[in-house]
Amino acid sequence: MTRANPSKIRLRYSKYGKIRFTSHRDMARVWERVLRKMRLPVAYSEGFNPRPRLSFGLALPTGFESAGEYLDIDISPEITIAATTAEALRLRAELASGGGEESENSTVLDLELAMAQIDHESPQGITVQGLAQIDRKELSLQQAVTSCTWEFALGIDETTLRRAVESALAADSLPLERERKGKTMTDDIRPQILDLLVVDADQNTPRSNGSNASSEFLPTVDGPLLIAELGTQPRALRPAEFLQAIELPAATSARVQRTHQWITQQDSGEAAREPLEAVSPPSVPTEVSAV
Amino acid sequence: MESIWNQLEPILPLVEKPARYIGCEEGMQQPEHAPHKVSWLFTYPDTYEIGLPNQGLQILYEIINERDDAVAERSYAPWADLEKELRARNLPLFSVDQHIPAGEFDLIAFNLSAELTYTNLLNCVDLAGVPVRTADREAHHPLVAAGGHCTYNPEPLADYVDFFVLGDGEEAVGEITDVVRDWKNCAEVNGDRQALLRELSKVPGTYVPSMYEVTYDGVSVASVNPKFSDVPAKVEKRTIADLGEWPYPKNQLVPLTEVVHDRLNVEVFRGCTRGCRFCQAGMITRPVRERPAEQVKTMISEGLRRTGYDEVSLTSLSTADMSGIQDVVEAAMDDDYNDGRVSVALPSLRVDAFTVGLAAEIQNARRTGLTFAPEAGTWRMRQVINKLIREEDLYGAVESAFSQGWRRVKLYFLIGLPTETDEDTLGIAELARNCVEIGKRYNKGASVTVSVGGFVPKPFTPFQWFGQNTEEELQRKINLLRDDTRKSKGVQMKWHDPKATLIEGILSRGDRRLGPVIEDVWRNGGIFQEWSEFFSRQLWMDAMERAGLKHEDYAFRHRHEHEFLPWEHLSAGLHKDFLWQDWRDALDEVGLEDCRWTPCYDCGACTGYGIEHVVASATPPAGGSQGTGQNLADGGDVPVTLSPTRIPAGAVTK
Repeated sequence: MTRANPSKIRLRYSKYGKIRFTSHRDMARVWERVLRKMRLPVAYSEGFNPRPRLSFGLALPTGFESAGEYLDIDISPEITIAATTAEALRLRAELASGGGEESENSTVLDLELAMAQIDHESPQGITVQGLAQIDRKELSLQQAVTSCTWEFALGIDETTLRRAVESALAADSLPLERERKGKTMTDDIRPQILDLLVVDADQNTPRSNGSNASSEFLPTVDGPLLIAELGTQPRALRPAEFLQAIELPAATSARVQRTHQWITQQDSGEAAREPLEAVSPPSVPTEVSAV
Repeated sequence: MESIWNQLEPILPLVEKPARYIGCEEGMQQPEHAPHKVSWLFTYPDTYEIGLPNQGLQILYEIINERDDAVAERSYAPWADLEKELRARNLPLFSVDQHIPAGEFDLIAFNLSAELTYTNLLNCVDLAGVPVRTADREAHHPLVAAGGHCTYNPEPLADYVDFFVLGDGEEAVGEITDVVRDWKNCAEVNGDRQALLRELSKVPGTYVPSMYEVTYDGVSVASVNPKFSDVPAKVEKRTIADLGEWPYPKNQLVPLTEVVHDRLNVEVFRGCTRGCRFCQAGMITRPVRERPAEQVKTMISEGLRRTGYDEVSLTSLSTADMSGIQDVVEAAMDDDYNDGRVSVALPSLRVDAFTVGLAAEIQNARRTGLTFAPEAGTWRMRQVINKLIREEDLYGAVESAFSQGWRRVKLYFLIGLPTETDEDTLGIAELARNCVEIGKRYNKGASVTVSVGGFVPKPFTPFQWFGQNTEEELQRKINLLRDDTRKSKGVQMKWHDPKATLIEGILSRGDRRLGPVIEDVWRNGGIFQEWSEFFSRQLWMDAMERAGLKHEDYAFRHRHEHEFLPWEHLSAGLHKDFLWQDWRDALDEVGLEDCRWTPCYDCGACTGYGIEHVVASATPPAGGSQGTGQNLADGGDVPVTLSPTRIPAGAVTK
């Protein structure tokens, strides 16, 4: 089972509440510490200043919440990965009885248990929703994700919202001036708007998307929601840019959450999928070692 | 107590780095408040990034939250953008733990580490909805308190802070809590703020300025006398006898956003007896109290596992001086946590090859820069300031650094020291050039950064009588050095703004008459004076003029032997005649050896309080001259009484 190359696992988590004010960079440091605390056998880069090999998905703007964020983690090659505790127990038993060289260096990583432990170690407002091995040749999150669905609670009345949505959808092009490499460019962002929808206040409860965050972290927002699926390739259309382009002013009290990140394989005919499906973290005693 | 989070949340998207205001750190506590409990708000009067790592506040935060009858939360000065939004909405300063308004706490206690934060203290008190002057506060207002090194001369803030605590806070904070609790829960006195302050003035180490009458004689203070017979005539600092009894912080706060010193910090000893005459920290924190090596090791090992950090800093005033430092460092390196990928930082490197060797052993990460503080450019000058580093110690350290892969060495110096001549100043450039020469043997790109700060005389040091250099004189010396190093390849020069040095100098040895100056600067928008984008010399000069005071009387004037100093009613244990003798020795260019390894000079810090050095070994650590000028290469026995002699907690002999 020993591999020359590190294996890859993908973590999915939600981010709600006060912690929404941390930046993408802050979260990167938080994850490094969480993974060290639970002693996950993360692969390190080579060189004089080895760093844990983590790769983060598309940055979530500071202040926004999310029902699904992702993080890819390289695991040391000598580690055998088990999807469930049952599988881990079986593999450990095999290794123990098998003897031989392989068992001396091999350790089994129990992802089911690891997921519960990461959830336990992560800060208030972060809920782990999935942890699974992925093919190590899989595209990076930044390359693989083709669109994101955003939910905007802007504090704007429904009529104004619907009018903006209709005119955006009817437009052939939506020019937007933005900076790129120090130059101001005008881009047509209309092709990046894949879907727009206004949900009225009564139906304003679709916050169950994979998130099992306790209700204390869930924002309570009055008024209608704007739901938008925005493209991310070759360059992501940012929520702020989108609002600017369709001329909707964001109130300072606006709440925005990323409800989905989608991977759509062009011409494949397959339905869009999420990088990792959300599951509830199992409640497992955290004193037990996942490795 | 109501959280105001719901009102804060909508304004956080409007400000820079909102993560500074959310709390949520690992180690944060959310204690349950109750009317009978004493509530403390520990506040650092600068940004979250600077204030969060402050170990003093973290220690007290934990000690208070361990009690059943008290709770503690934390606050930091909001940056100007948030302050504007708060004021526009009539929202107060708040705790980051549960976002409770600051004005609802029983005590707002500040750490004062730098004079230029004084205006921020006023701003925080005002933002809390509390009158800035003590005289205007009523029974329902929080008590405003302060601790930290600046409180050894608290006089400039005497009319703004209800009480100060001198020295180690571990024991005092509990005794103060007892007094406040009894007052709160006693119906007969709980409306009487004066009664409470009077009681507090009897807690050893606690100084209540409003209980003292000050008279003046021209530019100097004539007397400071207690107004009541039960108020102590002299307030003595607090000293904990044994650091081993206080293994705090046990749960160091791990912030979600980046701060300074963003790593595990373990205090390995408190106090320093090197006797550098410019160094207030070394004088006021005597004697040396080492933490037992085994406890240090446990705190490192458990701390890393709890926090997830991969770096630990061993803090003290001179960490290489700890008995058994090598052993402690090796234990940290051998820990299997994170597969041995742990960096150990020594924040205060001693200037010798041994120390660099130690640093080489432990710096896993890139070897970019190493910092030393020779402080002065010539041996003569170093004898005056009693920083007895020989030139060969420095060159040995620098050679050791460059030969082991470091490419840049940073050297800290002071200018404006007593008796300094231009030869001494230019000696700095000479040392730097010689260091570059040594570096070139190992690395063509070797460079030396010279960092120059203007000297500010501090209370309770032998230099407390010295009139500091004027702005012009400091600038002239900076220019002298800049011109001299301009053509020296590999030498870079940085310097501290002499304008800021002047203001620090005014406040450092000031008296109560400076209170209105600080208030004036604050009222005219002078917040965050430590930050160059906010610092304004003009605001201070205008305020001095309006108050009818001259900055030269405070900063530049030499004090004479029999002058009554504004802090004469306070004590750091040091005898005034010891300090005066040390000042005379300085002028005679006579150095004084470290008293850990030589007989006692009776400075007063030990004898006065019935305590002693707590060190694990009577043998000076190996290597170099140890910065003492002594030949200690072989170690040797020295007459030090070994620890520990326990004295009961709180027992302070007078």
